[in-house]
Amino acid sequence: MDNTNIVVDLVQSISVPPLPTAEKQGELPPQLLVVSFHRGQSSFLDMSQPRAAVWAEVLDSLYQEKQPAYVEIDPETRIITELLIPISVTVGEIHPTSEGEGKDVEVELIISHAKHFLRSKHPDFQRFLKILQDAQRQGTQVLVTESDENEIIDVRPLGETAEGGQK
Amino acid sequence: MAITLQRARELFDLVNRKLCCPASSPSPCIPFLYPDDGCWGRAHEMCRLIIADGATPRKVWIYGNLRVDTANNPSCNVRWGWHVAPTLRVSTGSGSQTYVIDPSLFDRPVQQSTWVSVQGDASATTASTDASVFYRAYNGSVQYDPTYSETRAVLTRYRNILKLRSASSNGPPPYFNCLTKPRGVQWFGTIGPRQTHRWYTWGWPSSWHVFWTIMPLTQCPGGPQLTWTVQVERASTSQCTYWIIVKNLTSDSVKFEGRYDILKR
Amino acid sequence: MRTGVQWIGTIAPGETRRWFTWGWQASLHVVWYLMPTSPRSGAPQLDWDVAVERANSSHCTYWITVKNLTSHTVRFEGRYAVLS
Repeated sequence: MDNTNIVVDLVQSISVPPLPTAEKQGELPPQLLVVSFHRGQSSFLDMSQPRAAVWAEVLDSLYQEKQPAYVEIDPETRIITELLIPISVTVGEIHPTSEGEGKDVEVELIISHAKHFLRSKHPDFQRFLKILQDAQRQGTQVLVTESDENEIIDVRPLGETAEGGQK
Repeated sequence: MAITLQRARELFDLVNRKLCCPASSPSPCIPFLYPDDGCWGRAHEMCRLIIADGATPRKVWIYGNLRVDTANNPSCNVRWGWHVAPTLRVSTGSGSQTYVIDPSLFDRPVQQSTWVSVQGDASATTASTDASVFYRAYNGSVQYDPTYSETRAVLTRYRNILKLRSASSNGPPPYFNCLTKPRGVQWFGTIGPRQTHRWYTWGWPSSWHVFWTIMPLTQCPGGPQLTWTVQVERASTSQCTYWIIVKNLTSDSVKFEGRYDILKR
Repeated sequence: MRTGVQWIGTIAPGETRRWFTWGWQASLHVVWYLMPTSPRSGAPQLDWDVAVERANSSHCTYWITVKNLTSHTVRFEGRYAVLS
């Protein structure tokens, strides 16, 4: 069962951790950066991973721009396993799409010119759909995160974060 | 006032030179290689550059069920509800025509009808606005960004997303599954930042005179990307193996073609 | 196939210097080579490496690094052949 923590929050700081006491003689500590978020969550970026340097740059950019990040964190190691960038939008039209499986919906997000899809197979489909519909009705903004395939994987009202949220 | 096609090409090249090397995407580059989203930011920035160079662009907006084939998305296409790009009025032999400046779709200025035709919806509608319009909704309502602060935020966002995609297992664009290997290309390869890697290709008749070259596919203007050397092994009385060592001179991953030319059989 | 001389260069004794030539169609298969124009027999005069840059979707730039192996100034032709 997937037990990943999800955090959607502003980056508070990115820092090098204090050197730990080596448990074994000659054991090198892992190359980690500590990424802390505004509402208290913290995580590690494993700099030995090939994409970690880019992730560190992007996280720093989000920190500078005061924009939130979407991260998935391994609950045991606290290492970041995924980084995406949410978009704050208002919700335009929502209508069923004949593509994909079941009762998928296509969502117009403003401002964005891409087509965005919320797939019915997503475990939070109903909850996300309600948030989108409420935001559409009220004219309020939401924070939407998509996969690289433009499929919506997280929706929350702007200002809300997912402390301890699980995937 | 209408300009010449040559001047339109100069203005196209002006904005195209701002293309982001996808893996590093340094500001203030324009992320043309992320066609998925962000066109309004790219268009506004392009207009700013064109205006600074002394020309007078407008914008064309298209609305519909748009779908464009592109090798710069891992799925080999992008789908849009609308799209926007700068336009220029160009003098032609029979008056003047509207040309579109859109490096995310083309490698040169194109007539507006051509720009519309590649977006896959014969019933799409278009609208023209002044360059100062930052966003135009389908219903005609508009937003402005006179200080370009919103433009800067949009470009920053999509530069970062392009960097994330390039750092993923997909790597930087273009995507091999979207490409057809042209004649004279032996293989597509990817080489990491500052890496040196060796490829080999065997079974070549040793009587042939064969030349090997490398051509980057990942766009990254500003300096040399790849260099290479060739070694050869006589594998048998009649066949040889070529070993091509490719060196990436940049700090970004580069996708490339390994090319051969048979000068004499 | 077609061949040509893209530029005439001069390189100082022992110098390594880089030239670039831009605006080439990336679809062409192009090779680069040099020919000294000032005769001096007995030893190699020039060595060179070629690097390439994909400047945009349709064009590339070639960067040719030339090394003068002698203690004399060498004048040379930068030559190309378009193989296909």
